[in-house]
Formats: sequence, C-alpha cells, structure tokens
Amino acid sequence: MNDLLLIANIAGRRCAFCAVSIRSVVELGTITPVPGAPPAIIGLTALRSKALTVVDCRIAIGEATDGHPTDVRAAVVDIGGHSYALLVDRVEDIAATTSEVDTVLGGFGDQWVNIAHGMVETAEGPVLLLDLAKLIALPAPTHRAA
Amino acid sequence: MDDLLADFIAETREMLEASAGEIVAWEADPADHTRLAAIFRFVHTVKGNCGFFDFPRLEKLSHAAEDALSDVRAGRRLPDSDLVTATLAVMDRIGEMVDTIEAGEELPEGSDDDIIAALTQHCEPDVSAIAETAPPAPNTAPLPKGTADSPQTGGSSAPAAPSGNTLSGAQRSIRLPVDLLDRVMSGVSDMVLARNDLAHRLRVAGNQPTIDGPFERLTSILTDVRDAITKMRMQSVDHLYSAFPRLVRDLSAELGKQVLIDLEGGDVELDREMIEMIRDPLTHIVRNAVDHGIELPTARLKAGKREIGLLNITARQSGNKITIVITDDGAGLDADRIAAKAVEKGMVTQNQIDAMTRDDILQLVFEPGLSTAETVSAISGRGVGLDVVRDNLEKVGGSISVTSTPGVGSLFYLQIPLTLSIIAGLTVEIAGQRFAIPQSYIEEIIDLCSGTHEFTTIGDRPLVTFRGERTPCLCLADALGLSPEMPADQQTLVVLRLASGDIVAVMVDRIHSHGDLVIKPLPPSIMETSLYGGSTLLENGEPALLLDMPLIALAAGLISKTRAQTAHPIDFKAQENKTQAQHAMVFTAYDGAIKAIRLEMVHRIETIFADAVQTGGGPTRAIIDREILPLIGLPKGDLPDGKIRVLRLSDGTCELLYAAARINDSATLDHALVPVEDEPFTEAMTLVGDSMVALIDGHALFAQHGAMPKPERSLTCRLPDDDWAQTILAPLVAAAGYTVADTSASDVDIVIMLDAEMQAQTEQSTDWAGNSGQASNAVIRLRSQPDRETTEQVRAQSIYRYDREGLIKALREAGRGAVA
Repeated sequence: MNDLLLIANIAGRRCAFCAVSIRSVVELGTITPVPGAPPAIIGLTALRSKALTVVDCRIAIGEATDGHPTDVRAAVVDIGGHSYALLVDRVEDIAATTSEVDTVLGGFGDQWVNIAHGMVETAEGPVLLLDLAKLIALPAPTHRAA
Repeated sequence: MDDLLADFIAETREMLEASAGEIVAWEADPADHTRLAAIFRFVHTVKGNCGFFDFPRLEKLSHAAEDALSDVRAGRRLPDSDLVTATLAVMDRIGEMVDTIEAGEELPEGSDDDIIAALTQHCEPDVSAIAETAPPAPNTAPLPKGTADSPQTGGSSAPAAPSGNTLSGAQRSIRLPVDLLDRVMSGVSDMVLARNDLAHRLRVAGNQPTIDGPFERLTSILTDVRDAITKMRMQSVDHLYSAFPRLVRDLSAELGKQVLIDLEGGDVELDREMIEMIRDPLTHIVRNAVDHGIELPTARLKAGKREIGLLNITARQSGNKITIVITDDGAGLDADRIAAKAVEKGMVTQNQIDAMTRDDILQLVFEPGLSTAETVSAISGRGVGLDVVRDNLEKVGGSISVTSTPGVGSLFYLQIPLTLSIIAGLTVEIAGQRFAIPQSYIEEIIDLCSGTHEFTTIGDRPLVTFRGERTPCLCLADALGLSPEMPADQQTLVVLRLASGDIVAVMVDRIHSHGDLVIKPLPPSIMETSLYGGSTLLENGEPALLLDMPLIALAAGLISKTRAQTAHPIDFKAQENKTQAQHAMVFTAYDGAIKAIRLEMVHRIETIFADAVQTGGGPTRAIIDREILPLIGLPKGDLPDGKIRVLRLSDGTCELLYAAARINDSATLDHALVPVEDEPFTEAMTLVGDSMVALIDGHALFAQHGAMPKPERSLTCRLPDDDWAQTILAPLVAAAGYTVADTSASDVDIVIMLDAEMQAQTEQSTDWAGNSGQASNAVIRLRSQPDRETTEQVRAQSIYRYDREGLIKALREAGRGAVA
C-alpha cells in the first residue's frame, strides 16, 4: 500500500513500474543498434559514461509498434547488474498506489499477463503493474549450439 | 616469492584468529571433534607452508603441535587444560614469528624447546598419568600475553597478539573484498572514459597550452593508477603452477610412473579470483593425466616411447582470454570406449554416435556420469569429475575441450576470460556503424585497394592470399546481418590470429582508430547472440560493441575448436605431407600468359622503377640493390611506365629477374605436369585451379641468362684496430660512401693508418701495403698533432685526425687512384 509507481503508457495502455526500481528518467541520445540482438533491443545508448541497453517495451511485450509514437524520455532500471533504458510511449507521472495488486477475471490479454504483476488502483485510476524482470527476460533469438 | 610470502602471512594470521576461539571451545568440550579438526588443520597448514618457505623453527614448532594433536585425535591422549595452554603458546609463538617474518627480519636463533617440551611431555607417560606429571606449562612459554593466564583468557587475547605486536615499517598486506576492488576498478574505468571525452573536446577546441599541460599530467597519473589497479587484481599463473611439480612427483611415485612436468607461460597474469576458480579444474586434469593418461614405464617402452612421460602445461594470453593447454604423451583417450560407455549410460544413442566425429565423441568425457576408468582409483576417483571441471569453467565464462590421438597423447584446451575490463582495441566501421576488435588478435591489416594481396572468391567464400596461404575471409557485415557499404574488393581486411592459431581475415568497410577501450559487460539477451564480448564507449561518447571474434569465426565455421597452436605430436604427420608437395608461384607475364615458377626458385618479389632498366642493344638488364642482373620477360619495344614487378630468381649462385605484369598467387602443383617441347623456357603445362599455366623451366632459364651478381661495389677502406678509429672515424668514412672493411682484411682499396700504428710498423720494418700483396692500395696516414704543431714535411705525409675536409679529400683522391 502507498507504494510509489511510475506511470507510463505502453502501446496505448496505461502501465506502471515500481518507482523504487527506476533509477532515473532520461532523455535518450544517439542509439547504437546491436545487430543480431532480439528485436526489442533497439540498441545501446550512453548515459554518463555508462552504456544502457535500450529496450522497446512495445516489442518486448509483443504489441505492434505502429500508431504509438514513443517518448524521447525513457525509464532507466538496473536489473541483474545491467542497466536498461525502457522506451515507452510516454512517461507520465509518479503516483501512489491505493490498493493491493489484484488480478481480474479473464486476465489482461495473453501478451500482457506474462509480464504483469497485476492491476493496481492509483489516484489517477487503475494501471497495470509490470514485472520488470519478466519484461527484460527476452526470448533468445537463437539457441546456444550444443 | 614475495607475493607468496605475503599470502602465507595473511593466511596464517586469519587462521590464527579463527582457531584461537576454536581451541578454547574445544577445551570446554574435549569430545568435540570438529573443533579439534579445525585446530589440527591450522597447525598442519602452517607446517606445510613452513616447509615450503624454509622456516625450520616455525616448522618444528607446528610439527610438535601437530604430533600432539594427532595423538589426541587418535585417542592416544586426552585433552586437558595443560595441553590447551601449550597449544595456545605454540599459536602465540607462531603469531610472533609471523610478525618477524613480515617485518623482513631473520627469525631469531632462539629455541622453542620449552614449548615443545610442554607439548610432548604428556606423551611419555601413559594416559592415566597425565594429570600428575603435567608440568606447569604456562611458565615455559616465553610470551607474556595470554599463555601465562588461564586458558580461557589466553584464548581471548591470542588473536589480539599478532596485531598488537605488529612491527612498524613492515610491508603490510590487507585482504580486501573483491567487490571493493571491482568498484575501484570500474571507477577508474569511468575516469578513463571521462578523460577520453575530455581529450576529444580539447582536440575540437584546438591547442590550449594552459590546459594541455595539466591534461597531460592527468593522463599520465591516470595511466599509473590504472596500471596499479589492474595489478591489484592480477596474479601470475606461477602461483597456480607452483603446486604442480610436487603434485606430479607425489602422484607418479605413488603410481610407479615417471613423469616430467614442463610448465610454460608462468608469467601470464590472471585475475586473482580467476586463478582460484581454475585451480581445482586444472589440478583435476593434471591428476587425470598422470593417473590415466601416462602409462607405466614398461608399457611406454613397449610402445616405443621414452620411459618418462611428458606433461606440459602452457598458458598464453590472447586478447581478453587466457588459453591453457595441457598435453601429455600418454595413451590418449579411447574414443570407442567413451562412445560405448555413453551409449550404455543412455546419454546418447548409437545412431547419434555414428553421426558424430571422433572429436565430438571425445567431448563426451565432459558429460556428467561418464567415467571410463575401469576401476576408480584413489587418485582420480576422489575430487571432481570432468563434468564438474567443465561446469566450473563455464561458470566463469571459460570453456574446455579435448583432443587426443590413441597412443600419442591427449590435449586439453582451456579458455578462460581475463576479466580485464580495459583492453587495447581497434575500431572498425561496418555499414556505417563502429565496432571494436581486440588488438591482440590482429596480425595484419590489408587494404585490398592496394592490390598487394591477391583476393578471389571461390563459390561465395572470399579468399585472400596471406603469407602464401589462402586464407578464408569473413565479411563481418554478413555475419552481423548488415549490408556493407563498400564492394568486396574495396574493403579492408583485418587478419586475425585467434587463440587456436587459426588465421582468419575479416572484411570491414574501414578502419578507424586504435586505443584503450573500457569494456563493460552486456546484458544476457545481447550476449546470447554470441557475437559480442562487451560494450565500450568511443571517444565521441557513443557506445560501440566489442566483437567476439572467436565465436563469430566459430559460427562461420572458420575455426576448428580443438586445434591448438602448441607444438603437438599429432600435427607432425600433416606437416610432413605438406612439405612434400611442390609449390609454385603463379603470375601473369607481360605477354598476358599465365605462368608458374617453382617457389624454391623465387628469391624475392621486387618492384623496380622503369629507369633502372637498360634495354639498349644486347640483353635487357636492370639494377637492383646495386647489382646488375639480367631481366627477362619484358615486352619488346617500349617499357611499361612507372614501376615494374619482378621476380628475383636464384639458383643458389646466379640470379636473374623475371618481369611479371601481375603476381597472382602461390599454388600447389598437384596436377600432372604435361611436358612441352616447342616452347623455350617452358618445362611443362599444368593445371592450377581451373586454368592452364606454363611452368617455367628454371634450368633452361639459368643456362641461358644466369649471371653471377656483379655488385656495383663501393670502395673498401680498412681502419686501424683502435677505439677512436672504430667509433669516431668509421661513421665518417661510411658516410663518405666507403665500405668499412674488417681490421684484418687485406683485400682493401684504401688503408687508413694512425701515427701510433705507423710507428709500430716502422719498428717492425714491415710494409703493410706490401704485406697485403696489394701494392696498389692507397694509404692515408693520420696524426694526432694539429697542423700548426708539426713541420711542413709531416703535414705533407699525414693528415690531422680531426681535419675532416682534408680526410675526405684524401679519401677521394685515394679512391680515384684505386679505381684507376
């Protein structure tokens, strides 16, 4: 209860990340592509002499990319010792939760249920709380050769 | 050795602190065997280490304590407070000695018999008598602290003793958590990046002397700090090696074998932590090699080998990896038995085995549950299996593979990352994007535009001729799924020598720069592409990816996983076969025909300028390296403009030049040679690749055109055997265009003499010029007195030794005389 959330829009949906796991919100500079990487990884970008892996959340979730322009700002998170910049449609605001994480009957849709903790209520309405670790655990493009 | 000693001191201290508490707890509960074991281990370790470092006093002391404690362990003796006190006294004494050692002082001559007596006196009477005969042990201990008190207080103050007694001025060593080191290291890495960024900005801003000075200083300080930080984490492989000779000696003695261990590359440095990680795997492989690999002396003799088995461990650094190769010349691995066992255990099916190559089958030894040893012996049976070895190595990002020839030996090939986060790298551009390649792999950079290396495409595989070998090229753009900006023949080739020894050329659009790169790890989802080794930030602040060349080459099938570069008996046969093949150089002559000439005959490929060629009447000749040699193969009429490529052929004594419009390649003459008769200078026609080439008849060529090289030699000049002449005069003479001859040479054009030498000559009444049998050679005499101090007559005969102009004039005159 009363956890702080970072509200963001991904592929037109209102989502939220746990604010304590967000290190900062930055404006993205030049992105260096990573050939051969999973499609959701758009590339690397430098943030104060650190390389961030830029992940397009829409692709990571499996939504279409067209029709949803992305923000120049991205949320920076540290997961498993690596820093990622999460590219979203729009970074909105910080809001406090007003309810426990809950699920709804019928789920949130196949692609969303995989990466979500569940729904939470905030002062600005209900949002889908995303599980960062699952969002980042992208499917490997090729299996390691035996 | 100093490192080892520091380790020993730190380790002993740590154990002292830990076991002082143990010993007290043990006394409280003498039945507690785990406590006893811990204390026993301490004295045992100290004893072992002392033997290694040659501290006899310390060794004797710990040995006595070990004896006493082992009696207790064996139940021959009951622990009582006297024993504990005596043991504590031993531990305190050890702490005291360690302090002395650390201070770099010799251990005092004193004796520890008092403490040893306190320990051993208990042993003499039978167990029941201990209580009465125990002497007041505390009094025998010379240490003021702890030991004189009751065991309990002794125990608590013992750990404090070493630190309290630490002598000032000693080289202190501390143990730090690796995390902290990592943080400092990454901080320094970031500083390097910030410096690079600043350097870039300063360059853009132009020259600013007031800033450039301090910046240079910052750079050099940063370099120093970085070196120090890197060293903090590094340790030479010698640390790892030091245990092996003993291990092998003990094992072979136990097994009745004779094994010679050869360790190479001990100076290769590796992360301290990594050394610890690979210690067990390496030990296991060495054990295995001695136990299973190397045969008994009799069996070896029967197999026609030397009685003494050879075990070789070689460590090499290549890029950001360390390669360790362990070879033995033992019986080798039995692929059939491994296969049978694997099928029997249900790990693979027979069909799978049939489809596998021998090398693949051998790799099964790293699978869990496969042990080919008929009986689990005491040596290899204990400890870890090869599957654990592989798991441990993979955990730290390393790899292991094995290759073996039955009866000849086996080779284990380990690769371990260095975890060095700053490496020298080359940045290259591919499809407009920059990538980094570790500098250490790079053998050569070839610009295809220059046309110096032949470049062809066979099927879809581009090949470049590098050092006479057709080397496969890999278009990096293709490997990365990008489209190159440049056509294939305008790309730049980076020739890499991978740790396995394979040579691979990669094609990139262009080369940017090289410099130090700070390598940061990449997230797992990117590492899974098996293309990159890390990321780095370029000078402009943009990230770039470090290419993992071995993995890329492996994925492209360009390297054999198990080929190693160390000399290896298995490779000998292949090399022998190779040398039997005949090689030829294929070139296009000026008449357009493709010709070949045996490679042995080609001395060099030279480029000469057209004006060095003389065609006027008679045979064509050219000047090369100040020699005039016949030149054949040029078209009649006008000479080609500019440079001419010529093959400099030699039959051992004679040389001649053969002009080539284009050098194609070297080739193996593996097709039949069809003799031809009507064409002069053509030995035969043969097939090279798909085209017919004429093989030049070297015999006929030299028979007609061969000429001894006629050097356009410069005049030789003999100088006196004198320091002044050899160091001061010789350069002057050489600079004037004369060849300085050996001091004892007689066949020279000009002789220069000093006055001292002239005198000696007059005394012996010998004539140098006459002696040499070359009356014609000119003699220049030098004297030490300046002109104004000598008579007219002397001046006419000799030249003042520092009269440069006079000397050169005399040389010139003498030279003219010699030529005439």
